[in-house]
Amino acid sequence: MPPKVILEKCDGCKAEHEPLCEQVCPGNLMTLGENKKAKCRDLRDCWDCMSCTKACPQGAIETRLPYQLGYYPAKLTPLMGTNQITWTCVDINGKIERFVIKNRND
Amino acid sequence: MPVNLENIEEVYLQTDILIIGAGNAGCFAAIEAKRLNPELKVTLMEKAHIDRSGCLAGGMDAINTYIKKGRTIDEFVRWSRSQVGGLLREDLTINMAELINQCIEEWEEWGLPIKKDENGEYLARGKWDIAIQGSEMKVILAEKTRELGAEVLNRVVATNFLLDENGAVRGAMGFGVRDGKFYIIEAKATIVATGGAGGVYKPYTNDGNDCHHQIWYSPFNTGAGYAMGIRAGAEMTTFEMRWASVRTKDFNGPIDTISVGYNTPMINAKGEKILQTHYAAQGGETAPRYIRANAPMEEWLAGRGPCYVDTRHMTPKQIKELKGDYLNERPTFVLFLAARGQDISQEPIEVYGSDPYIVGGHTASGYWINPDRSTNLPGLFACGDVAGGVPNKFVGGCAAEGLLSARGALEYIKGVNGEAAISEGQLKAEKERVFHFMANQDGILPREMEERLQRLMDEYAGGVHQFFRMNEERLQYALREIKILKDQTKYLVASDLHELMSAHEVLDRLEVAEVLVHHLLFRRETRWPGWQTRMDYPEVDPSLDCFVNSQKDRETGEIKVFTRPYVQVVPGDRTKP
Amino acid sequence: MSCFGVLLCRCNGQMPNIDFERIVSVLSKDKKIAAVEIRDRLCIDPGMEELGLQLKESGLERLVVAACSPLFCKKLFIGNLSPAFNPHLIEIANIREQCSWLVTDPKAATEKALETIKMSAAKVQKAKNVGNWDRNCVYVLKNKCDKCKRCVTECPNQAMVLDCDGFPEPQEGKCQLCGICLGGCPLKIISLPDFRLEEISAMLEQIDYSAREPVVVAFMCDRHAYWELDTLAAEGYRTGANLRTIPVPCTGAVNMSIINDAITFGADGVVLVGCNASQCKYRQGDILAKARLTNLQDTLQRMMLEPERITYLSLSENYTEKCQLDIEKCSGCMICSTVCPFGAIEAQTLEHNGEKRLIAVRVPQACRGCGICVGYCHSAACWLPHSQDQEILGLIDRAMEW
Repeated sequence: MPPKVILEKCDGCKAEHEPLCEQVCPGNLMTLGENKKAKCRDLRDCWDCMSCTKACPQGAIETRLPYQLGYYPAKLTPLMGTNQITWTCVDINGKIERFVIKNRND
Repeated sequence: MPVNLENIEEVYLQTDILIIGAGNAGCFAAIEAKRLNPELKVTLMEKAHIDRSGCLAGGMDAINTYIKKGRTIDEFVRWSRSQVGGLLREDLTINMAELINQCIEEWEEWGLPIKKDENGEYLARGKWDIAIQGSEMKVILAEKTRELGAEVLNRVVATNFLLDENGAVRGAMGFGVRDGKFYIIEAKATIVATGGAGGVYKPYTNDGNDCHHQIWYSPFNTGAGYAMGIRAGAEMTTFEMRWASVRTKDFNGPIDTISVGYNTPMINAKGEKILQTHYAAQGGETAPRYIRANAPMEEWLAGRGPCYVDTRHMTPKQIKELKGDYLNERPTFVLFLAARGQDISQEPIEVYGSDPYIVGGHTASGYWINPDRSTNLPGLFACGDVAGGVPNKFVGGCAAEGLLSARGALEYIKGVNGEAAISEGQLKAEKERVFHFMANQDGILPREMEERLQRLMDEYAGGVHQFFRMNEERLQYALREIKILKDQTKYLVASDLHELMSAHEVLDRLEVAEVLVHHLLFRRETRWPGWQTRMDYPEVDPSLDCFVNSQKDRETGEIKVFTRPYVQVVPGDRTKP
Repeated sequence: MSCFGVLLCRCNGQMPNIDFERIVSVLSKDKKIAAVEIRDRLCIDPGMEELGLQLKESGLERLVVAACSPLFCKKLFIGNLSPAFNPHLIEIANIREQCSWLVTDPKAATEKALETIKMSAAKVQKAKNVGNWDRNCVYVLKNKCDKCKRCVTECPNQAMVLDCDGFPEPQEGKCQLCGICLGGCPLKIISLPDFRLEEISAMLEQIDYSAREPVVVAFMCDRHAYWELDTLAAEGYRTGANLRTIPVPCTGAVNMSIINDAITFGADGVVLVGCNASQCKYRQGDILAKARLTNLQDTLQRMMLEPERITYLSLSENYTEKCQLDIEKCSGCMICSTVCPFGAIEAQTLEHNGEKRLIAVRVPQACRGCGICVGYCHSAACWLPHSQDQEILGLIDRAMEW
């Protein structure tokens, strides 16, 4: 069940129809639900590319692995800076790893 | 719900060059066309959004083809040739290799960070690979494409080429996934860059209904470009050289990052270095790609699985770097390791074969093209994963082919004048074909048919569950079933535009699967064990040292399979680098 | 990279704790800096215009002026230097209020001054005309825009309208350069003439986060909070040396990506200092900034970082409304201190006109300007600058006339 939308944080991008995650999803999977919040229309069709998670301006999307493949509750959170991403990975035993990766030249 | 065809709005556009697919190759084609002639109208037709479409959506951690200082194009051809058992189009490989470096250097200039070594040269990661930090590389490319003034039609799916009376391609037709309109785009030249075909076979990670897209290749590349070409009578080559590879088990993530980047040998359950122990004759650790893809599967069959890439000698610094590389390409692999609570310095990473894909950027499957990237259909050019004959293109090569196809198309349109003579009947028939699924009330869901096809191909045409093995009878069975499925497509139901897209994706995959099975039947030998393992013909047949091509008759629908001779340009033993 | 220099002002000896020799020697060693000039009183000494032209002659294109708060002399400096330099290529480094006055320890003050100059230098080096230096409004880089329309929705002045292709187009007359659109833009493609995210990120990169003391980066609204801090500094308010301030047009203009940058580079804390909802000049800036921070705090929590590390501070009232005390008139009865609900008035024994006596002294940061002390004071020693009797009576008169 890859993208999990944190409903309290999602503001549907305030757009009339297309939130940012819906714009970028390469599989056309994100859409606005009836509550005007983003939702994934078919979790099984997600490629886990994390485009939506990186694009979300509210940090309201979390990418999760299907449980069939990996255990709960590991987390991978990107923090998007101007020219770099700071990733935090927390494994099922609570071990934290951080990575700062440049993603664009100045 | 537009059930009545009359109510569906039509959008008619004219352009000079139409590029179908705004991935890596398509963007480079658009950039080159606009650079060569800014006056031209260049239109990109993209079923997703240009910022994150195609294989680079999630990012990339390396450019696997870069001609480094001191290396020559001849060397590159010899290496690439040896990796695929000596079957590739040398003319195409040479003119592609000449442009690879230019593309990569330009990309860097536009904003792509490339790692550097202490001398300021690109950081090498194996013989032809350089390390990059490409998580946003597609966004950077998309920005450049827009900056140069190419028109982008996001969320428009191409369904068929527009053919004029003489059989020349004059654009394409399709539908908008968001607006539900029927698009007719007339162009002087058309470049197809839709990528390869994933999801033809069932992935082993598919648990019932979940994790359906846990595959290595972009699952949204469904072979639309191949299918459109097949339907229009384009000549296709070498589909039987399927791309299957060693991937991380359960996650289907890339392992070149580990094995090429950090020199980690593949080991079996007994701790033996598989390639050195059992494949020394084929080159050991540097054995061709299909040998490497097949090796862990053979170990499983021989009772020596599971297999691993041995990461236990890696230093903490290397592991940190490795994870960083993954975050640039498939970030969720790092999440996968965390979800296993796996410390790879203690526990090696398990590997397994992937489901097979038809990908012209890795193997030689795709359109049969000329050096200017033109196909046998006048006005149609192909580049990237959809173009055949040139394996081991990867990111750099697909970009270079984009440039070549744009140059070819620009040359071609000099001789095109006037409006195309398009018959009304063609438009009407296509509109009916595209939208009629929405009129169906009861029938088959696209995903049901997709899953049926995937299991069929997996079991009867050498999928990963069958250890890539097949024989004449199974292939004939697959062919019969594909015919039934094709007939059944009339019952597909699409209740919204997303489902309509899924329905067309199934149609496209079926088209690819049919041609693929014909190719697999034709090659009565085993040239690339793993990629193509015929149990009934386990040896190499020297008389088949040639290209196997196919063409579908536009009128009768009959698929003709024939051969084309190999033309060697670079001398030497074709199986040795 | 075009050539840039630093012009230092000693402010007539008003910065006794700053070691200018050290600053000059460090800056002169920096290969990127082409020239370092030092003056005693830049604002009063004649010949600033000639100095500018001379610097220009020597090949400089960009200039950092390290002197007092930009709220004092920025216009004067830019006016005098603009014949030689493009005003967008001049950056003021506030070393007087923010460094010399706020920080007591000479060593720490000097280091902070150096870092402040480096930050301004980084900003001026990144300064680039993306297309709005000659237009008085924000700029949207359309070829990167995804048409999400967030800027259109969030602009408090309805200054963003959609052009024929669906891209947001800022309206020159309506745009107030608050930067709220820039703060919310998910693609980080909106910029103000002198406020681009790349510039701010470059400033943050200059800060030395390795110090033992926690480093706090403050983005302060330059209409209000930044000004107030400078004024407090003048009044004797002191902070630790670990505070780095960056003036922003409005707290709403702070894009979360720059906070992410600060956290990534190693800042221990980030504060946004702005106004309350009733006070934001642009009406919504603080509300949006607070909402964005709340979301970011949650993300930090998921990243196993302490959410308290990013905070919003609001200053409730404008400084100009704070009560004033007149030592001459004060009788020392201390009734004001008794009635003040905020404990903002203290009794101190001070020497005045040769005699020691009890005098009421205001604690500047505690006063909220309620005016209760004004009503109680028997000797008319307390007053609120903009609410004096005459003014109020005048207002009543005018209201009656109407």
